[in-house]
Amino acid sequence: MSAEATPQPQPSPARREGGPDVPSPLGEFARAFAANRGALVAAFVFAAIVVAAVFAPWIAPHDPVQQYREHLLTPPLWQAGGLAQFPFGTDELGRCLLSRLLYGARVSLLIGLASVLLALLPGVALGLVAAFFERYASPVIMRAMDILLALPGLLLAICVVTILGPGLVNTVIAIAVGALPGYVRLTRGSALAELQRDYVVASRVAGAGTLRLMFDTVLPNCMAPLIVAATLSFSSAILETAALGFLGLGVQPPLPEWGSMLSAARDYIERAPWVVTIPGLTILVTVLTINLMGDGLRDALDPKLRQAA
Amino acid sequence: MSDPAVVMQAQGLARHYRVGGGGFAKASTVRALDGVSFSLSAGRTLAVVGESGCGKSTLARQLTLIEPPTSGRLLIDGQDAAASHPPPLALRRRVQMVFQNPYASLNPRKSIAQALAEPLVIHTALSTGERQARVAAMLERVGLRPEHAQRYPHMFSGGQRQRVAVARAMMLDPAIVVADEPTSALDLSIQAQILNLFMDLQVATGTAYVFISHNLSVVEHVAHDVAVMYLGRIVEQGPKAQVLGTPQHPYTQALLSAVPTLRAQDERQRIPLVGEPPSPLNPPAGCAFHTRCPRAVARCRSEVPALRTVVGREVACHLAGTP
Amino acid sequence: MALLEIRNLRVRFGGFTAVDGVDFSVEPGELLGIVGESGSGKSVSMMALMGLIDAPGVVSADALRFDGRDLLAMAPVERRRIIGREIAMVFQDALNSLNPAHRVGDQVREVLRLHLGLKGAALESRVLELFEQVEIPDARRRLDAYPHQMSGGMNQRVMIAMAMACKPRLLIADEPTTALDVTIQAQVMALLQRLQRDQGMALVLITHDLAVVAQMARQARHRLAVMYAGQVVEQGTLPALFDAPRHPYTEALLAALPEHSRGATRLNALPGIVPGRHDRPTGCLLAPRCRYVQPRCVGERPPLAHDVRCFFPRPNTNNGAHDV
Repeated sequence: MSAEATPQPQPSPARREGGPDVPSPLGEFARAFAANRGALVAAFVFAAIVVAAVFAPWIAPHDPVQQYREHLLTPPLWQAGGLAQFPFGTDELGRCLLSRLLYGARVSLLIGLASVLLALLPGVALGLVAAFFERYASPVIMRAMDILLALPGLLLAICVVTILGPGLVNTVIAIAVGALPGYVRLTRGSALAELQRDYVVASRVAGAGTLRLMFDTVLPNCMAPLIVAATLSFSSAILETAALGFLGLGVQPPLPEWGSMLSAARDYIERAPWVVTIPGLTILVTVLTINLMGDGLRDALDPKLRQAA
Repeated sequence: MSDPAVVMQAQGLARHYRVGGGGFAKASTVRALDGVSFSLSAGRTLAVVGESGCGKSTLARQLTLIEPPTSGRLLIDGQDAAASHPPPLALRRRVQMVFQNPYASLNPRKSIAQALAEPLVIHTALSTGERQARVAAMLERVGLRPEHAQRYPHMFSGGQRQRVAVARAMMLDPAIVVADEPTSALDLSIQAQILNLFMDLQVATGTAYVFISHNLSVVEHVAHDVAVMYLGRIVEQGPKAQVLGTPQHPYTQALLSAVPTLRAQDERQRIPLVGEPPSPLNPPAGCAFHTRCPRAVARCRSEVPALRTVVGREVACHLAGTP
Repeated sequence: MALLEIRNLRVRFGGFTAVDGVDFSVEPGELLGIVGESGSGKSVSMMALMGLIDAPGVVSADALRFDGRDLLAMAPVERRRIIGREIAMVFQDALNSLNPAHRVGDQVREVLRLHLGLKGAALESRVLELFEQVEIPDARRRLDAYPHQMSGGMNQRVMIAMAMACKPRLLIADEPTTALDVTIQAQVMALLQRLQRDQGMALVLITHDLAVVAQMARQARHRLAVMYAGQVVEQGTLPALFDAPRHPYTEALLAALPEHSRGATRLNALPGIVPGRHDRPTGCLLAPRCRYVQPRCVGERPPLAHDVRCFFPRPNTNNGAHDV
């Protein structure tokens, strides 16, 4: 028999991942994200775009709807015939391209953010309900989502806009409706998987009610794929806005919007290519940076989930 | 000295599931739990022993009020817990659970402090400060440093997480803790630490344990009473010394003979069991064990044996008590 | 000549040394039992032998010889022919190790086809023979089953069948019975013992269960090694190790067994936890937890001498401290 002298269990140190500080999941995520160079650069570029959009009224050299009749189709600064007054040139109605791009950024980012939120919040709620009340709610909700999914995204957006009429608000609604099923499915799938885990049962045994289980226990563990999906659908929202704008169904003139800028300048592609290429490039760069960020988010969040599990 | 109070009583607990039966397939019933009865007193440990498919996990879910029974009663402090589902909150706090896998039983997105405070938030009206104080006190009690309360589960080892799990179970000072293989996933030296923790807490608080384990040497150490389960039923139950020392049921005998021993002199003649445990979807007629029992006779194939008292414990075997 | 000879095996992951200079040798037909807890490096060392350690892990050794042939110096193609054919491995959780999308019969057939080039009738009869050898009842029907349709014990037998397919001379079993029920564990252990005897196969058994290794070791010519935090801390035969352990860790492991605290309320628990990546002591790795720790232990790392890695091995004889 040993004379073990510790009746009180000795406190043992927590195993540390590195360093004396206490990295929360947020801190660890930030570190992992920063390790991905492409994502980091994209994040900075995107931040620049956001800043430009927010401060457009102060940065833009001109009023975006102001028409300068004497300067129709002026080339950009770096081409022959360019003027310092219009750094990116002017369009077919003599409006400053740079100013329109900056104000257009506000529109695109706003629509992107609004449509993501409008789809994400109800989508998460429906997905959780479908997962928690699987027997009765799930079939109803999922079949409804299947109906929405039966139509291709853009076509669905066109339908909604046709019914509701064109304009900024209806564009947001149209895009959100198309994105909703994805979030519902994602949330339901994630939540169903987490519901089987011991820690959810532990919370139930501790007395947690359904609402607490849904939002406090399960949802935080489903966030990672949702965040990635939200980021990526941000970029597809911008593309859809541009497509709708191109078709004349989305944001209406004179509100500057990248897609409608492309559409209006179709006829001038040979004469004044900058009126098409510059907005097109802007769309490209914005979507690309968002997608790179989304990839970085996914890589940073997923392994953390696996490690934490 | 008066007898310790009975905190939990199971009377003929049964839990059946219907599976299949869509379209042309006939639905079948899984009799996961088929009539379990026992009585548990404060400060005592009932060990539940059995192999895969015996129904011990289902029993754990019944005892922690996660699922209502198909039939039978569960009395906690004299109250019928199965009377309403979901059970009243006041009843919930009397039974808590510690799980097997320390890597899955803590919410990865919550700090230890949040996880431990959750039961207090749900059941009490304590202020934030009071909750923090209780969390810190409980952490010390289970051998962890209160300063580490803000850390997240993945920063802790398996043994430490299990300590947190025990702390969480004890936060509301429950009358009964159901421990489902709490040390099976732990190393030997850590297992010893955690088992000591369980024993210390039981002595200090008088909590009763239902201790589910397949490790018979652990059971030998922690249990006061032992119940051996096979295919949803208890086949032998009684005081530890009786059940493990002089097993009467052929299954218990086979189980004990299969345990590997450290010393040659302890080695038992292994009673080999033919084949695999039958599926609970298709239990054998009569005694569920008769298909693998080395002593089965004709009666075993047709008649289900009832639990009866033999040599100081209860056995469900037609041949028990006969040489 | 030893069948398997490992000298100074080292496995590093970045700055972390998972296996720190271990030596093993196994004679033909012999049992080598490697005992340890998590973080001891027991699984990693065998995975390193099998070439299963991927980047960023780095494997190095002074010698890694199988049947006299240097595994390190070999071309990868040749090495692959030995691993899987003459050396086979069985893992803990059969359900994780078997491909859930393929029938079990097909998985065994794949091994036979790849390594032995069997086809047609010869293939079929060998597969059936293997299933019967590992005592899978109703073998012919089970060939078409998927892993999830069978129990843990059955899946483990399939794993053993796959390992035995090419009649290996060495079988490495990493916690083969840990996930199994007690009665099934006993059956699988008996199976491994029988296969070892009948085929004259050497067996490396990795486990944390002292009773399992003791029971297996009693039936065979054997050697045991106890590992802690990447090092071998004691080695020898069963009676030496378990009846008179000399290293404090071996002693503590045995003392922690519930069997050795019969009648006592508390178990003899070794306090603390295995050192992780960031808190490796400079001296003896067990020093922070060892009840016999002396100042020398904290400053210096003890070498493995006379089969014990300790400056003050138990019991202290009349010599006092052993200065090695």
